[in-house]
Amino acid sequence: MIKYARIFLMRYETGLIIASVALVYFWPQLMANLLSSDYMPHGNCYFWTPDLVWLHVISDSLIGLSYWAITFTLGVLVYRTRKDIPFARMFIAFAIFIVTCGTTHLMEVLTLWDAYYWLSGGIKLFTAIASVATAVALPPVVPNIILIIKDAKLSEERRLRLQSANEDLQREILERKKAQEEITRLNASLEKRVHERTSQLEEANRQLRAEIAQRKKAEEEKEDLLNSERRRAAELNAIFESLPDAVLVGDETGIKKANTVAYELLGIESLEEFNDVASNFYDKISARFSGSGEKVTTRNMPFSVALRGEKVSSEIELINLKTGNELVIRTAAAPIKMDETVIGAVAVNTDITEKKKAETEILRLNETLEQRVLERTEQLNETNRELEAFSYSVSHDLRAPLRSIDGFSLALLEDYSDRLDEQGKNYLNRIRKASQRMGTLIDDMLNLSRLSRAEMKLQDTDIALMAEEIAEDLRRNEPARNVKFIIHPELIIKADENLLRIMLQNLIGNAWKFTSRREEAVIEIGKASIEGKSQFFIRDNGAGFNEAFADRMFMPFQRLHMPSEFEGTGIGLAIVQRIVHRHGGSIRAEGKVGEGAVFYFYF
Amino acid sequence: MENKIIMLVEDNQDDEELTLLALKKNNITNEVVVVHDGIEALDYLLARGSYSGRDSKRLPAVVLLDLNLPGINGIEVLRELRGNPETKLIPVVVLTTSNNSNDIINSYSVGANSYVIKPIDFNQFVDLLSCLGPYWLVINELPFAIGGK
Repeated sequence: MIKYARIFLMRYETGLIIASVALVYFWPQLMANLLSSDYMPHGNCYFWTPDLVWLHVISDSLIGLSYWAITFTLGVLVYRTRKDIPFARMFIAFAIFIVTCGTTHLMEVLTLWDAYYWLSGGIKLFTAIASVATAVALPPVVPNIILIIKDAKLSEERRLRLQSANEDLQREILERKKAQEEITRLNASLEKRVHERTSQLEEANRQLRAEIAQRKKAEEEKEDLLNSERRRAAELNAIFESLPDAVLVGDETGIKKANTVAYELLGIESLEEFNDVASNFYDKISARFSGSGEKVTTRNMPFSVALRGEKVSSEIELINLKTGNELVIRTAAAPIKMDETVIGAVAVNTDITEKKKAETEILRLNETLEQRVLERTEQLNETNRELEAFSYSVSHDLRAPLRSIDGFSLALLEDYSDRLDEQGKNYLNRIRKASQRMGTLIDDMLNLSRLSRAEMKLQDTDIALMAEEIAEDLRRNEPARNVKFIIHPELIIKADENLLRIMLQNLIGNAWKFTSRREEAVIEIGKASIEGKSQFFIRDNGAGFNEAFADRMFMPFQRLHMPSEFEGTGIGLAIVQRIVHRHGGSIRAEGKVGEGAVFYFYF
Repeated sequence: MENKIIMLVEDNQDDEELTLLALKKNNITNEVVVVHDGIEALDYLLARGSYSGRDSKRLPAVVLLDLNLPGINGIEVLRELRGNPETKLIPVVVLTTSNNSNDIINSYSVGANSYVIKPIDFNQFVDLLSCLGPYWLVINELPFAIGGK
């Protein structure tokens, strides 16, 4: 309805404007005389009665101005509320109608003095059209306006109801606020209590946490302890298993634990086999004590002895149940004590079969060896005895005939010289010489053989002192000789004094002998470091020797000179070498024919 | 001195002859009783066996005793003599070829008064007896009366 009204009004407006313009424009003479004032001013009608004039002027001015003001206000209102207010065009129609009415009144004032009646009429016409149009347009709008008013009324009621409800609400809010305050108050107290309780709880919590931490720590410690215990137990077990010996641990109820080596040594699968007294385990393995051969029983076995508190070690022969091999084991058993009480025993069994075998073998070998040594010693003793008898026989029986030869030869020479010619005497003298020489040879041989058997007593001996004595002896024997001895002082050597003397007598005697053709003989005895070794030497400037025979010189009865040149049996250096060897030493000779010789030796 | 007896215990006839010769060369003319083995030596000195009739009191001024004797050897003879009160004081000179030190020690051990080694060189032997003779026959004092009476 309103919509239709609006459409109608729109058309109406347009039409009205067109009609107004058309009427004004086409009204006769209006446009031509619009601004003519050829007529008599309207005041004249009032005869210029001032009161009347002023009455009209003031009234019309106020009306006109009011109408304009109203129009302005309406314009502003419509402009401001053009979206919310229905019938906005109606208001514009009213506005036009009112402003034209106002203008009409203002024109009444103007025409009092200036007679613009045409203009005034035109405006009136415009006003008339606007009024008519408004009058015509208004009725269809009324129901809408009534509706609006009704709505407004309804709104008012609602507003009132709303206000009442609002008040109720306000009240309720107040109550609630009060309740809230009460609650807040209660809350505060509650909060306080909660706070107190919370702190109590927190304290309790803290204690609880501390306790938990403590318990946890204790638990961890316990766990750690348990772990380390377990580890130690595992370690102990590992050690137990790693032992190379068979170890059995138990108490009077039997063996409780054994390592793998023990199972293998005995050839058993389970400890029950061992502990089963009825099956008499020791009979099964034919266990006997080594040596005595006594049977091993549950009563006398080392383990049982250890259970009685004694330490015991014995060797047992037995048969491995699995392999059937005969074994010898050494069982060492000891009681396990805690606080002086025997709580069990441990037996350590070492397989000594191989060792025993080796021992037996060694014993056998030893016996054989001993037997052989005995035999050998006996042989040697026999040889020695034979040698002794031989040398005795040599010393006695070989010399006796020589004595006869020499004795009777001399007897012939002395007692029968008158019956012998020179040739015969010469022969007898040769016989004597030969027999005497043979006597010397025998003596030398005996001396040599005696050297090998003579007991030695080693002690520090001064070669220098001994050499002086020997030199003295030699000088005394042959005072005519001119021999210069250079003997270095303190030539200490660890030797058997007697043997050393014999040796030096030979060496210095040789030097003395082989320098006999020197006018100025020099014999030097001293010590020198040769080839990194401290060696003693005896040097002479005598006849010397051919070094090619240096080694041969030390052989018995080997001579490098003619007997006519130098006397000797050739045994001297053999004796020297024998003595050096008996002292574990070494001797060698250097020399040059005609220039002398030097003998180096060390023990 | 003249009636002092020298006793020679010697199995080797050569040695016996040479000893007597050497004594002779030294002009020692005393009676020399020669026996040829140990048993004979003991029989003589203890006046037993084939010498049982002998005056046991008549003892030699010196016994020259060889060691290497058949049967009972010199050492055993000496031991026997020293074990017998009748003969334990008789001067005994071991006169032997042996220069074995064991023989020397053993001889002294069983009571030898002297130990002399017979040299091979006869001249030396004569010299030796020239010492021994006067010493044992003249210089040395005997513990018992010569000749027993």
